Amino acid sequence: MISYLVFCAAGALLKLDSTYIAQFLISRPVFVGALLGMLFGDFCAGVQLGLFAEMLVLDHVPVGGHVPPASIIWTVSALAMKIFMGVPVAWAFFGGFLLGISFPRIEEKLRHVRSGWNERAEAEVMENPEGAVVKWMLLGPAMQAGAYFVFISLGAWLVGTGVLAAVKYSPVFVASGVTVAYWAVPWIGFSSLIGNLSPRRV
Amino acid sequence: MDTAPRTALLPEKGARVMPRSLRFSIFWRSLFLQAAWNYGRMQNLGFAFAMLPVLRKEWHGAELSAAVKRHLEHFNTQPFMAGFALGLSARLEQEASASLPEHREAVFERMRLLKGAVGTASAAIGDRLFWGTLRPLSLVVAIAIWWLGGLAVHHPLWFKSAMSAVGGSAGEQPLWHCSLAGYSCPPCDIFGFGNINLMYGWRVVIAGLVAGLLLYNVFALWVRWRAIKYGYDCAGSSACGIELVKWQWLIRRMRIIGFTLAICVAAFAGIALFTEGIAVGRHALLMKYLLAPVMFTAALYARRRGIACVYLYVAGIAAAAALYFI
Repeated sequence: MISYLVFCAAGALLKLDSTYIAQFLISRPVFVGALLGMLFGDFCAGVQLGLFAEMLVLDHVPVGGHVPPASIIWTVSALAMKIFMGVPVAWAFFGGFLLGISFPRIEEKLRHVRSGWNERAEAEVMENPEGAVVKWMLLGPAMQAGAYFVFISLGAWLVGTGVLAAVKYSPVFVASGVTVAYWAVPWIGFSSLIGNLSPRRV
Repeated sequence: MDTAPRTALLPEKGARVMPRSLRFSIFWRSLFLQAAWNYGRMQNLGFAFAMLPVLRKEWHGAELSAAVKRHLEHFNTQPFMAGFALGLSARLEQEASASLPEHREAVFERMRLLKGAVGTASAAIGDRLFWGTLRPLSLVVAIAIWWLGGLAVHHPLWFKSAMSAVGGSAGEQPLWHCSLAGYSCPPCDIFGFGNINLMYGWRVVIAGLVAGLLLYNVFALWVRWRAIKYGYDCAGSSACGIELVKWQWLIRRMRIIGFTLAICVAAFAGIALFTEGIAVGRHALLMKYLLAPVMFTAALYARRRGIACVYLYVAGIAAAAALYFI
C-alpha cells in the first residue's frame, strides 16, 4: 500500500513538469514509465506503456487552452495496475487510456477555478505585491499535484479492479482482441511520427 | 512597429543594462511561467512572478504594487519563448522608471501592446518548433538509438567491425546484464517482436531516452536564456525575437532530419516484422500481414482527414476480436 501511494505521488509530481513547472519534459510518458518502472520493478513494461501512450498523443499539441489527453496519467495508472494489481499489460494500457481521456475534464475545471484567483490576487497585490504573487504561484502546482495524486491513486485502483474482473469474465475472443489491438498500437505510432515530422507541414 | 516617441530620461538616471544575476533570476522564475495557468488570463501570474526581480529594483511602495498589477493582465505564449516578452518588459519597466512621471503612462501602454504582440508572434514560432517538431524528433531519435543499440548487442560482428574501424572495443558482455542491488533487468521486447535479436538492454533504452531529452532541453534552455537578453536588447521593437534565429529554416531542417529518421525507424520495424515475426500467439500471421500494415496506413489516412486515432484503437480491438473467429 505504501509503495502504491509513493508510486502515485511520484507520478503526480512528475506530471507537474508537463505544464506547470519547468517543462524539461522529464514528464514525457516514455521517460516517466521508464523511471517509475525501474524504481518499482518493471522497467520494460514502463518503457512500453509510456512509449505507446506517447506515440498516440503526438498529434495533440497543448496550444492555447487545448488540453490534450493526459498521457502521463494514462502511463502512470496503467503501470500501477500492472505492477500493483497484476493486470496484464495490454488490459492495463486500455484501462489507463480510460483514465487518460477522462482527466482533461477535471483539468479544465481546475483551470476555471484558477481563473477566479485573478481578482483576489489583484486585491492582495495592493497590500503585499510580492507575497501575493508567490502565494498564488505556490497554490497552483499544489492544487494540481493533489488532483493528480487523488485521481491516479483512486482511478487506477477502481479501473484496475474493473479491468481485472473483465479479464476474468470476458470471453476469450475479447482477450485476444485486446492483446492484438495492443500490439497494433506502435504501427499507429510510427504513422503518427512520420505524419508529424513531414516537412510539408512546415 | 515602434510608433510611440521615446520618453525623456530623468537627469539623475541613465540608460541601464541587465546584470547577469538579474537575467538569471528572471530565467529560473520563467521556469514557473505556467504554475498558475488559468483560462481567464492564462500565464499572467507566472509572468508577474518572473518580473518581480526587475520590478522590485525599479519601483517601491505603491508604485511596486501598481507595477505588479500591470503584469497581472492577460498574457500567453509558448513557455520557452517567453524570454522575449520578459526581456522586453524588463527594458521598458526600466525606461519607465527613468522617465518623467508624466511620460510613464505612454511607456506602460507601449509595453502592454508590445508584450502582447511579441507573445503572440513568438508563440506561433515556438508551438511549431518545440511541440510540433522537437518533441516528436526527440522521440524518434530515442527509437533510432534503440535500433542501433539492438544491432550492436545482437549483431556483434557488425558492431565489432565498426568499433575496430574507429579504434574502440565492443566488449563481450551483453549490454542488458546489470546488478543493481539484486534487481534483474531483462532485455526489453518493446515492440513485441518476441525475438531475442530485437530486444534492448536497459542501458540502450536509457541512452536513447537521455539522448532525446538532451536534444530537446539543450535547445529549449538555450532559447529560454538567450531570449531574455535578446528581448531586452531589441529595445522595444515588436519584431523582437524574430531575428534571433532563422526559425523557418531551422524548423524545416529539423523536420527533414526527423522525417528521414522516422521513415528509417518505421522501415526497420516493418522489415523486422516481416522477417522476424511478432509474438501474439494465434494471430501472429494476421497481425503481420494484415493488421499492422492496415493500422499504419489507416492512421496516415485518418490524420489527413482529421479523424482522431482513438477511433482506430476501438476499430483495432473490434477487428482483432472479430478475427478470432476466423
